[in-house]
Amino acid sequence: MNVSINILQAKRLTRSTAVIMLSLLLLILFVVSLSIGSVELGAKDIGNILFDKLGIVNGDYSLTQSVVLMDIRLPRLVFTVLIGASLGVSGAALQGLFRNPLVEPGIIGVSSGAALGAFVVILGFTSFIGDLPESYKVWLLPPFAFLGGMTATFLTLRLGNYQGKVRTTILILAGVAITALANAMIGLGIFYADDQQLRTFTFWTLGDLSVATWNKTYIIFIPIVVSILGLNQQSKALNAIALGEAEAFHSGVNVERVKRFIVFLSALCVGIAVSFAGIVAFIGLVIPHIVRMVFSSDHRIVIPASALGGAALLIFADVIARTVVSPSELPIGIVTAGIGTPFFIYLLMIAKRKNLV
Amino acid sequence: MKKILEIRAVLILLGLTLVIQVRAQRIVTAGSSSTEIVCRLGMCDSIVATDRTSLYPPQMQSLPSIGYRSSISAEGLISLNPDIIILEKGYVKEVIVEQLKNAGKRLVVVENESNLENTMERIRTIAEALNKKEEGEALVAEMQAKLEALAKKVEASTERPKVLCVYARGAGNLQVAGRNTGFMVIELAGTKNAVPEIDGYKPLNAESLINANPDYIIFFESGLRSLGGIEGALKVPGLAQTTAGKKRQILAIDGVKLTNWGPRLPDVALEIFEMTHTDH
Repeated sequence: MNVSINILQAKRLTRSTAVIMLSLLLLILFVVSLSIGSVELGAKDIGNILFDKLGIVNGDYSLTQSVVLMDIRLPRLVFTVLIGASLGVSGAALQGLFRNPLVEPGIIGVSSGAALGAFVVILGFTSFIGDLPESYKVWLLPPFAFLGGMTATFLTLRLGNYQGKVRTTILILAGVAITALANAMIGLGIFYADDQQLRTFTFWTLGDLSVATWNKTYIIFIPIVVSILGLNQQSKALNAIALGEAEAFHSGVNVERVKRFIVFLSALCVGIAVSFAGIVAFIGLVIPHIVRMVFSSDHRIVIPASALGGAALLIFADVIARTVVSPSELPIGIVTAGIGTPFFIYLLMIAKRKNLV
Repeated sequence: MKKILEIRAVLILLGLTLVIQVRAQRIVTAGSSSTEIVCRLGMCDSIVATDRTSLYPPQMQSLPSIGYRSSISAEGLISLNPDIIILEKGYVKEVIVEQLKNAGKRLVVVENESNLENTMERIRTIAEALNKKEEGEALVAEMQAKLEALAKKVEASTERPKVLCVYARGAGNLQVAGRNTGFMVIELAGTKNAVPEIDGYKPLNAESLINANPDYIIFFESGLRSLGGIEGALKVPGLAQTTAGKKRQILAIDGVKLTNWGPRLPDVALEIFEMTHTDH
């Protein structure tokens, strides 16, 4: 699917309608999923707890109910919204920037770099420094994963640099190379890992939203919101780039600056998302496609709508993950890939029928 | 009149104890050894849900499953409305333990370090938490007596066969167990680990397999099945060339019983001893 073809089509919906519609959808999903889970919490209980916490009325509820709502479900939901939004928005921005529908945030090396960083904590510390208490590891993991993700992205950017400019093709190839290198190092680590470490790591590569706490949600809030707003600002430039880099340059867009800015912000929010929640597959790939099909290819719509859509899809997937095997739960990556893959195959079939690939 | 009052008091007391008995504890366990300990202390019927590794006693398999390791969620546990949750450390994620504590759930966290003292300590901890101190001591004494009897047999035997423990999940995925694994139970059975230099689990390699030359190879029952039985195991490169392969001394033992270091420890150790020694 060539983005530049779609952009010439008439806009079906205006920007504000799309954003309002998706915000409403997100709000509904948010409220509904608050009341879904293995512990039964009716709308009345939720109202009682929330109003009581806000100091409005004294409701009647048990400690367990309030802990489940306030310390388990609510932080997890906000966390899920932030992770989903950052994956969706960076997927949209990178697909627009590279003018390639197969791009997902991992293409700039950030995911595998973050995975390598996490593996250093899970395995490396135990081997070289000695066994760390589990509670330290929980807090060491995110910064190292983030550092790994940023390093990999930085290397990809440096490699993609040619005669002072970031060449898109070289950048994608550089991303592939860095990803392969990081995976090889992870593979080496897996060979030396013990049973327990291996299991921690495997689960981490499938994504995990159950680790959400208020503290983690506070930490990721500002960088993710800043990245989303920053990427949103670039939507006009992305529209120009959709017509071709040379065309964008001649219409006054500083293409090189935009590229670096978008890659950096995407790496920032995806790096944070991956470092706290593991690799949640397919949101970044699939959401921008859905948005373009339902709304428009105008990046002024695609970017904010992908943030909202990514959050909505991840909430939906998480409800499934939490409930289908209750009282246990599925790794979130399995659910998102389970929903994402059939959709992706469907997209490919459509694209083939329309001779777009 | 006085007598009637006395009778009444006795009746009320009886009624109260009855109510307490009826309002049985709801126990959730995570970790097969804890589940077996609770059962051996006579509280099997109080377990309302357990994890996926708890396959023994068999009726545990029909209980609701809370999942396996990282898939165990706090809300799922809370929804079962347990009075007491028994967890093995490292088995459930730290953040989940924290959430359960915040929800005011009574937690008993035990460790499983795959050694004898730790097993006895685990039994005592759980027994105390369930108000079954006497039963706990009785279980410890019983296990110790069995182990002492086994130790005497081991001493009387002159054989010290080399045993290789293999953790198999299909032909392409064979791991050998070295030190610091649940398989350490073989040392109680008068056998030597064929790969004492390995720490934890490492992928099996044909040449080092021949080099280690074990007299016996122990698989999990499920692991040997995944290879296609003894015939399938003999096709593993290098295996047929070892003493164990030549003599077809390939054993399959229930994986949970073998490696969970629970109340069945003396029994499984004796079983291994009898299977690997000819002079007992």
